[in-house]
Amino acid sequence: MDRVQESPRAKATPRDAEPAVEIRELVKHYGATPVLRGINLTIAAGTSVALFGPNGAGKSTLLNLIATLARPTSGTIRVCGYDSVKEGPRARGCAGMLSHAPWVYDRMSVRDNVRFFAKLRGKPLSDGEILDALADMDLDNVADADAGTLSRGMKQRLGIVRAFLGTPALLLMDEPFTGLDRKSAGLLCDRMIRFREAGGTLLTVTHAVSEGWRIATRALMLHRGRLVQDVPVTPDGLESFAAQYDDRMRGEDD
Amino acid sequence: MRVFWAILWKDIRYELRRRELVAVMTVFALLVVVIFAFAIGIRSESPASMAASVLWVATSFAGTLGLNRSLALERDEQCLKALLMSPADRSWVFLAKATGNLVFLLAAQVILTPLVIVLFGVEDTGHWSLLGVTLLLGSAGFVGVGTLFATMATSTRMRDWLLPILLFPVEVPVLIAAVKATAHVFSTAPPGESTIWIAILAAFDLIFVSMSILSFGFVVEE
Repeated sequence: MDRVQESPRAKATPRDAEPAVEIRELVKHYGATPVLRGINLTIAAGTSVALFGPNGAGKSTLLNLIATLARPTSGTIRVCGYDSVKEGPRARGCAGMLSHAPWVYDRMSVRDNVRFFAKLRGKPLSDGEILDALADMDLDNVADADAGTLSRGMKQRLGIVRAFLGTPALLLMDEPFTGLDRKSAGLLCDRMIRFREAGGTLLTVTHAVSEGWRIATRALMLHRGRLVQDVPVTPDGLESFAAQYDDRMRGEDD
Repeated sequence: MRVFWAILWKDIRYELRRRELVAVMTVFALLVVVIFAFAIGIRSESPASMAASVLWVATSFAGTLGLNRSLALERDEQCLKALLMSPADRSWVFLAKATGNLVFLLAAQVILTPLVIVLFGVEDTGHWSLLGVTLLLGSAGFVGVGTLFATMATSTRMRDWLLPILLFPVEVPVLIAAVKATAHVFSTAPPGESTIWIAILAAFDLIFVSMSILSFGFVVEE
């Protein structure tokens, strides 16, 4: 078995001067169905990338592959310099993931959820640190409540706390704003900004073009398993990007 | 090892708070034993064989129930992906879940076994340590493969009935060895006869658990 877990410092440390994500000729098939067809992509450390695309374009599959939750049919993925297949534990040590489901245990208290996932990420937290992490998402007043008793928005905020545990260098977010109320969305945006300022890398999958445009420095569009757009985010670029995105969406509907 | 202990302790703590899994498994196993006792009569010509068979039938039925429930916890709250994203080899995730399942199954057997012994009139042969080893090895073989198959079944729509259909044919060698070993321990035969079956059981465990550890990573990845 891999012994990387014995060294918490090693697992969360990206290799120096390596891109946060480096993908070469990535192909993914489910059975005979091709989902991703030859993706090449490099994401520099410290950037924020938004990935857009219609349903079925392969966005979530791409995110799962980077998170090592899926295995490429062919091609390579390097996360913080670590091969996602051969050095899976080290690649996972660099990456956190926030899905539209919070991935927390309903029948465990909020505090116990944070304590457990911090241990799982190899960075156990003291009671004070747990409360600080919860206060960050305005959840410290419900620390002893079962997660299942929280509102959807609060539970999603607990999912945000979970995703940032273990100080990942790369955060993968799959539709992170889905189901969030205004307050929760604001807290998530603040957290993402602080993460970026600390040198973290964000890869966000979203349908909401204007929201994605606000948080990203680079925008990608995936269509039928291929990257068809890769542009820097500029204040005046939103309109033309949104128009192209709508065209692709219409093409899917037709 | 940190991931192993974190997941195992989480599962045990969860069960200590809720007391669901062991209670349901135990009650179900006790019902199976009582039904068998009524159906086939509690006084038989070979109580050792009968008691061993009923014990392992009840264990495997209750164990399947427990395996389904244990993985359902991860499935319902979609936490399996969070476990799989831990920065450790995925074997540790498998071993932690399997060890948790083993602890719960053994807890049910602690209550079940004395009842079977009393109901079927098994004589006190004094081989209780051999019985303990047999229960441990038989249950380890059962949950070793069972945890892998429950993980596979949990991502399908047919999970509730798929697990026993997948699991029981594969578990046949472990269950036969466990029944034979237990029957010898329950009988007045010399301990040497049971140790042969215990050794066979240990060999099956080694193969089954090793295969499950090696397969787990492929099973959980999409």
